[in-house]
This record gives sequence, C-alpha cells and structure tokens, in this order.
Amino acid sequence: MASVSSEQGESIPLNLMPMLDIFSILILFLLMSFSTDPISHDLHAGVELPETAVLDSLDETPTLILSESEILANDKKIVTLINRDVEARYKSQGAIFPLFKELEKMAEANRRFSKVKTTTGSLTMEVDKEHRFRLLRMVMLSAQQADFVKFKLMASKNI
Amino acid sequence: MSRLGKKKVFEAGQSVELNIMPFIDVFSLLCTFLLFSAVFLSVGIHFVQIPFISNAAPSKEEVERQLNVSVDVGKDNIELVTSWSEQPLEKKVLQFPHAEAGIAQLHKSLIDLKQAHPKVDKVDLFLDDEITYDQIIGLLDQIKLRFPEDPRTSDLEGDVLFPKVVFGSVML
Repeated sequence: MASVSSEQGESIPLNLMPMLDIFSILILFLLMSFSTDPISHDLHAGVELPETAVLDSLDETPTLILSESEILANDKKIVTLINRDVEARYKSQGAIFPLFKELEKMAEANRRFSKVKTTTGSLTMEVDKEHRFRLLRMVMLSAQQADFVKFKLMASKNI
Repeated sequence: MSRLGKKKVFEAGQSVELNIMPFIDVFSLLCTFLLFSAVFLSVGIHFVQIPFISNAAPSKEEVERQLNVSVDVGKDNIELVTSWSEQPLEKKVLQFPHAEAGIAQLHKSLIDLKQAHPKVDKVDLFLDDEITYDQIIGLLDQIKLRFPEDPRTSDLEGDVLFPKVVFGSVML
C-alpha cells in the first residue's frame, strides 16, 4: 500500500482504492461518450443551436456562421449584425452584397475543383436559434445568386 | 533463464506490496486525453433546398399528375395546402394554430397524407419573416421525420416522412 512519512518519521498508509474507483468510473463514462461522429466541430461563441430529433450527423465544417452579431463565411467576417439585421448599405435586391461576392468566389473555386462542372455543392450553415427567417432569407438569396441552392442547417441533436 | 521466466516465491501469510503508481499514471493520462477529446454536443443537420431557375430544356416525357403539398407558416396559424398539378385540382386547405398543439395536428395530418399518397416526398415550405430559426428547425422535424410514437403501417416504414423540403419563400 502507498504511504507517506510524517516529520517524526512514522509512516501513514494511504488508501488509494477510492481514487482508483473514481478514475475507473470516469474513464468508463468518457469512453462511452467518446464521439464517433465523422466530424468534430466547436461551435462559434455567439451561436446557440436549436434542438432537433434528426439523425443525420454533421459531415463537414460549416461554411456560413450566423452568430448573434456577425456573419462569417469560412471563418472570415463578412458583415456585422445590428439588432440581428444587416445594415441597409450592404443590402442589394433582397440579398447581402458582400456575402454574395464571397460566395461567388467560393462557387467558382468549387466548380474549378469539382469533377461535375455545373455543381457548386451545398452550404452548411450554423445559425443562432434566435435569428429570424428575414435574415436567413437574405443569406439564402445571396447564396442563390451565387448558384448555391442546397443547404445543410445545423442543429443540436437531443440525445 | 529469461527475465520473464523468473518467479519470486512468497511464503504463506507474507504481505505483498503492489506498486500501483504506474497504474495511476496511465489512468491520469487517459483521463486527460479523453476529457480533451470528448464532444459533449452532437450536431445534426437538416437538408433543405431553395427554388432555382434551370436552363435545361423541358422534358418531353408525359408528366404524371402529381400532388403538390405546401405548408404556409404564419405568426399565428399554419396552413397545409394540397392540390393536384392538373385538373381537377381538388385544392384542400387545413388550418392549425401556430402553437404546440397545432404543430402536433399538422404532423398527424402529414402522416395521414403520406399514408394516402406514399409516393409524395416533397413539401414546399413558406415562412413568415418573423419565424425564428428555432421554430424553423422544430417545423422541419415535424415535416421530415417520423417519431417512434407515430403509427407504423406496411406501406409507410422508416424514419423519414417527407425528405425533400423546399423553402418556397426564398425567391427574388
């Protein structure tokens, strides 16, 4: 048994069994909860996802992030949101112009590297649960003009 | 003799001291690694589509008469509209309050619809500007998925109800 010595030189035995028990249980729990999802992604700090019962798992890192205060495309800040809305100067024909320009570049790159030249792929979106459809529609319209018509909407699975 | 082959003989009643420190070391490292790599949030995805204009030439094949299903979500109520693509259109509109009970009724009506028309797999979803993303995901769950408590019939199996959802209101 493990022991420690006091100043007087007497040896005090340490019972390590309870600690080993805790360790075993902790390891068992961590191994059980070890994720087998194809991709592990840390959510943006300004995003709280809604809950879903869907079984499909995230298969790629999100391209678009609509946090509480900004819109990011591939982790690059595109516009700042004020009261969960885009400033009027960035709006054009119901879409968000800087976002459209960024997505257009992305679509062009996708076409260049894709075997099927006509497809641009889909956009994975990480959206804060309090955002209104008004903002989502503007983002989707920007994507539509850049030839993205398929979306993967992220949500937190209720386990 | 090899080192592994050596055996230490203890006399009966003699206390044997086990060195458990390496064991604790391994446990500590394993714990740290697992804690760092643990994912406590599992993320799911809903596939959706928006309408688009195609340059492709229209198909010359005769198109079968098909049932169009649309869900129109307002702030206070939800409408489930069904109509045929060709005459007679037989348009039917069902209204539900936009509340928990109304959404459950919508889900039940969609199950009945799927049982009556198993080939239909697409729903057009029209949303009010004020609907939150949280509510959208809740509605997508009700439209796209079948839950364990839903009725099971031989012609309606699996966990998917209407796999294709098109956001009809995203148009220029």
